Parts: sequence; structure tokens; C-alpha cells
Amino acid sequence: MIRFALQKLGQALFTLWGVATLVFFLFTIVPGDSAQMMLGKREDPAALAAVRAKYGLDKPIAVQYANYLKRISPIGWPNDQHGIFKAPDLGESFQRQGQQVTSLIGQTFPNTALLAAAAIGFALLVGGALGAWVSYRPDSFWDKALLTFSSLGMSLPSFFTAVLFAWVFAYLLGPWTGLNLTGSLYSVDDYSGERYLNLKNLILPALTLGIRPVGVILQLTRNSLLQVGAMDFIRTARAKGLRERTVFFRHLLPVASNPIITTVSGWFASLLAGAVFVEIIFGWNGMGKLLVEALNTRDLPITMGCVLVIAALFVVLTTLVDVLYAVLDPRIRAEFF
Amino acid sequence: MAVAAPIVVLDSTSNANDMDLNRVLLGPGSKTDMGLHLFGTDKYGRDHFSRVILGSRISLTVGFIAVSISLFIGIPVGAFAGYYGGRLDQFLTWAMSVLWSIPTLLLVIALTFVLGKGIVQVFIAVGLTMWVEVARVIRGQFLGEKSKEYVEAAKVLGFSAPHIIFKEILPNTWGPLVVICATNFASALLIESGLSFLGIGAQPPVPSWGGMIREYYPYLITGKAYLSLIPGALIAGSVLSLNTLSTVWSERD
Repeated sequence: MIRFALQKLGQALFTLWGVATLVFFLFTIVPGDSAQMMLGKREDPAALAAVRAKYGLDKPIAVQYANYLKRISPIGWPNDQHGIFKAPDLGESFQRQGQQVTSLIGQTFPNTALLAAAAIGFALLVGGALGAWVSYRPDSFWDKALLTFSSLGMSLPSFFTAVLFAWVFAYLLGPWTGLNLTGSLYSVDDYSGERYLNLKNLILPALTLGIRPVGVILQLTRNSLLQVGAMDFIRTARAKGLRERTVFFRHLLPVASNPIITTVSGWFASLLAGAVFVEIIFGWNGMGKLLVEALNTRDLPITMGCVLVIAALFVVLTTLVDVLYAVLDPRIRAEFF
Repeated sequence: MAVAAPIVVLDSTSNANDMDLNRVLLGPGSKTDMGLHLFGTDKYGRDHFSRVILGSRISLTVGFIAVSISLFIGIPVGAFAGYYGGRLDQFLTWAMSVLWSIPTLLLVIALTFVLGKGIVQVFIAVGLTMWVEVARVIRGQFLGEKSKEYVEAAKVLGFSAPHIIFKEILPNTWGPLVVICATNFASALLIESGLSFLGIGAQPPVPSWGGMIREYYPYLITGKAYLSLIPGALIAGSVLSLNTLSTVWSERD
């Protein structure tokens, strides 16, 4: 078990190193001078040289690369400021003077994570329940109707769904639903200037972001349940005279939920990326919005930081699920004990 | 349903980029001296119907070019990794898992940051990220095929490795290949419209579906929602037909 976990960890670190390297080389060959980007319109050779010296841009690529790895790595030689583990340093924003990218991402990431988690939660609940429901009625009218709807849902680009939902629920039905066209998790009161939690604003973005996963999870749950339901041990359980509820929750679901867990973990990371559109349209103050703003102002460190964080999260999540899988699934566990 | 996408390319419009500020934001079905404006006109007085139809060009071109590039890179990489195995396979699989870890949209965004805004950059960026899917499928197929008897026979007959790879094994993998092409076409289309929506894809005045949604979603609250909903529905429709195509194809045998 430990060997398996360590092996997975090694693979994950190797992949992470690859990602970091790819991102570095992608962004160091950016046409245009980073020092120039930082200074904006000023064209003072002395200032340019000073900026280059400060950020090590005058050094050879290999040295820059080594410095970059040292900066972003969460593990470092212990010194007086930190132990073996340290906070990764993603550099300083070009456009927002003096702001650290890590703190900018730290401020926006929880919002995006909450949005993605709410969307996945919604998708698991609705998709899972509907999928389980139709798995008891294969090839019925409702089965076909829901399958068609879920294929349709999977084809909708999230920016289109966002526009559609904003229009229908916040504009046309606005007076009834009381939802806002745009808004973030925290609103600022117009009179007192106080920040207050506005959970209402989470509904539409989470719904929009959840539509595609609902379709995927519905089909997966249905197919997985049908497949497992045809197996011998389920027939045995039914033949023993167990109640259908017991058969479903104790025998069917644990086995059938494996592919669902894998897909959900895979989707979570891509939802973080897909949240870009939803955040823009609903004005949700998350990482996607930060990324697009950085893109439009050509703020290199923020763009780089966002890509790195999301990719790292993806690797960490898939590794975790792999290990979790081995712990839960007796067939895989047997191989390593 | 699958035919829905290509038939809209019929293009007989000349006034897609003609501006006329006297006929700005007319409702759908209104008539001017230019003729009937089926979907009305946009904020520069251009015929929305013509622009929507012309937008299909960008979407379909992106699909074709991205799929071609992805095949061009993905087939050899997947074939060599699957056929030779060993160190080469380990290295290529690692490279694929690295690219796989970065969500496609972000990778394309990073590439457009490097290559600059514009539609050509999007073609290249999407193609360069999508080959991974092709390579994974081809590699899997080759792993299964290479131990079969006909490959052994070809080896005994003394055919060269490239001959075995491209002439003997590759033709047997084209079923899954078609499926992945249709899915890739759909995701290329989605990514292009997404990028155009973010303003880093097709640049105005070139009409593209994603760009139109970007331009007109603020018009939702003026009661002109159809300006952005029509191109959105067309994107969804094209993607749906491509996905249906790939499902039908994969369930064929």
C-alpha cells in the first residue's frame, strides 16, 4: 500500500515538474520584453536595465529556469524564514504594482473553488438521482427523454448557458426569482459600505456551471448501475429477499460509484478552468476573472500563476483519487498487499 | 441532425460587413432597402442573419484545421509509443500526461498569450493541444494490435517498421479514430467560440459566433436577447450534432 502510494507520488511530482517546465518555456519565449511590459510605456534604458537586474532577466535562460523552479517549489532548503516547506512564490504582478500573485490567487481561489464545488454538488445530486431513477426504467420514455436532454446539456457551451440563464432567470423571471444579473459572494452595502455574504448570487453561476456535469453524471450513473445491476451478486442479493433499498445502497451503489468518482474528480479541475466564462458573465469575483483580466492587460505572472495552480490542482486531485481508489477497491488493494 | 452544421455554409450575402447607421438594431423580420433582415440588424446596422451564417465559416475552419493538425502529430506519436514501447513509450506517455494535466482551455490561452491574438493563432494552439487525445487513442489501439498474428506475419515477411505501422496496423484503427475526430472537432469549435467570446480569438469585424455572444450579451436587458442567443444556439447545435455523430459511430459495430 505504502509502496503504491509512494509510486503514485513520484509520478505526480514528475508530472508537476513537467508542467512547471512547460509553463516556464512557454512564457519565456513570449514575444515582447517582460521588463518592457512591467514598465508600461516608459522607455528609459536605465530603468529597463534596473528591472532586468532586479528580476534576473539579464541572466542566461538556464539560470532563470533554476531560479524559477526554486521560487515556485513548495519545498526548499530550510533557512531562518521557513522550514522545509515554504509558500510558493509566483512573483509580483506587472500591472497591479506591488501585489504578489500568490496573494491575488489566494483571494480569488476560494470563490472559484466554492463555485465549482457547488456546481459539482448540484450535478451529483441531480445527475445521480435522475440516473439512478432511469436505471430502473431502461428504454422507457423517461429514459430516452433524459438521455436526450443530457446530450443537449453536454453540448451547451458554458458562456451560452450563462447568457441564457441570466436572461431567463434574472431578467425575464427576475421579479419572481429575485436573482441578480451579476454579483459576487460578498456584496457591499450601498449605504453603510459593509461587506455582507450574499449566497443568493451563487445560485445561477453554480447552476450554469453544473449543467454539463449533470449530463455526464446522469449517463454515467445510469450505465454503471445497469452494468453492475446485471451481475450475479446483485441477483443473489435480490434472491435472498433483501429489500430493494438495501440492495441499492449496500450492494449496487458502492460498486457502481467507482467510475463516477473518477469522472467527478477529473471534472472538478476542468470546472475550475471552465468557470472563466461563468465568472465573467455573472461578475463572480474568482480566479477565472483574474485570469482574463491578466490576459487582457498582458500581465504575465498572473497568467502563469493561474495556469500553474490549476494544473497542479489537477495532478494532486487525480493522484489522490488513484490512491483512494486503491484503498477502497478490494481488487486493486489485493495487488499491493 | 448531424447534417445541421454543414448546410448553413451556403453563403450568398454581401452585406455582412456593410454598416449603415440608419438601420441600427432593427427587430427581426424588418425590411429595409437592403431586403429582409430575418434576424434584424446589429448595433452597426449590419444584417445579423448574414453575419451569423458567415460565422459558421470560422467555426468549421477551426474544426477542420485543428483536427488535421492533431492527426498529423497525434498519429505518429501514438503509433511509435504503442509500437516500440519501452523508454520511448515512457517518455511520450509522460509528455502526454503533462499536457493532459493542463486544461485545454488554459493551454490554448497560454499559447495565444505567446503567439498573440488572432484566428490563425487559435488554429495552431487548438491543434497543438488536441493531438494528445489522438495519440492516447492510437497508442491504446497499437498496444492491442501489435501482438496479433497479422503483425507477426508482416514482421516475418521482412517488412520495414514504418510499413508495418502505417500500412498494416493503422488501417485497423480508423474506427476509434473517426470517433475521436468528431469529438475533437466539437471541442475545437467550443474552444474557438470560447476564445472569441473572451476576445482573444477572431478579431472584429470578422464575424464569429463566440464574438457575437461577447458583443451582444449586454443587450439582454434591452429585450434584444436574440442577438446573442441565435449564435449560441448554433454553437450548441453544431456540437450536439458532432457528438451524436461520434456516439452513433462508436455504437455502430
